[in-house]
Amino acid sequence: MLDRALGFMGHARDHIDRAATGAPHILHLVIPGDGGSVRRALSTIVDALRHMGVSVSLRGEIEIALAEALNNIVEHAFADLPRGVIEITLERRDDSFAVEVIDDGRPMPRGLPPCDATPVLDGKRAELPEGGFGWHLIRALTEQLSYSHAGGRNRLTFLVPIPPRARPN
Amino acid sequence: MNLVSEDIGALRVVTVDEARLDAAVAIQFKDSMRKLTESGPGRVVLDLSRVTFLDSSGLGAVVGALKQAGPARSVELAGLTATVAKVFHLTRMDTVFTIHPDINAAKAGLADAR
Repeated sequence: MLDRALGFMGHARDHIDRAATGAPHILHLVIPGDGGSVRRALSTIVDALRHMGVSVSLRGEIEIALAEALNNIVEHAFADLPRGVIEITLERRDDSFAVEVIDDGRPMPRGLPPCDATPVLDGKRAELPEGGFGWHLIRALTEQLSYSHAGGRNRLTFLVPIPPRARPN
Repeated sequence: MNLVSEDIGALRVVTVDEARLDAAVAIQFKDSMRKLTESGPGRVVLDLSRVTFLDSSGLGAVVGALKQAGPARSVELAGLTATVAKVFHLTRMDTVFTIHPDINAAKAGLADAR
C-alpha cells in the first residue's frame, strides 16, 4: 500500500478495501486541503475504525496523530496557496495501523519534519507555551515516522502501535 | 462554540457544550473564556466532560484561557474524557492545571490525585 502509485483526484473519494474475511483493513480518502474537510475526514475515519472494532483508546490515539498531521498541512503546506489535495491511507496490520498522508503543498522547512521538542513548562503562568504541541503529540503517539518530498508532493508515513492485548489472535 | 457559565458561590463553572475543542473553534473558545474570566468569582472550573476530542490548537486555547485569566484568578479543569486526558498527559499540561475527576469533586475542592 505504501509504495503504491496513486493519482490525485479532483474530488473527494472514499474507498474501503475488504479483506477475504469481510473485515475492512484499508481506509483511503482523498480530500480538499481545508479545515472543514479535515474535520469531516477525521469523523469518517473514526467512525470506520469503530466499525472495525478498534478500541476507543486506540481510536483516540490515531485521531490525535492524524489530526495534528492534517492540521499542519492545512496551516503550513497550503498556507497562502490555492486549495490543495490531501490523500490519506490507513492500513490495519497485525501490530499497528500504518498511516500515509500525501499532499501537494509546500515542502517542510529544510526538508525535514520538526524534531521532538518537549514543551517547556517550567516558567511562570504568563510564559506557558500556547503552541508547539502538535509535533510532540505526533512523535509521542507514533513509531517509524518518515517524511519525503518528491514530484511536488509531501509524503508522511508513520505507525500507530496496537497495544498487545488489542491485537488479533 | 457553546459555553455555559454558572456561578455557585465563589465558584464559576464553565461547561464546554461541544464534542470537539479543535482548530476550528480554538480562537472562539479563547475569546469567550476571556469574557467569562474578566470579572466574577476568582475560581473558575472548566467542565470538559462533554469534550471527546481536543487537538493541539484546543490545548493551546485552554492554556491561553489560563494565562489571560491573570495571576489573581484560578482556572481548573474537570471531567476530562480519555482522549482529552491523553493530550494533557503527553504534553505534561496535566502538571500545570489542577484537574478534578468531575464537577462534583471540583465543587468539593478535591483535585485528582496525580
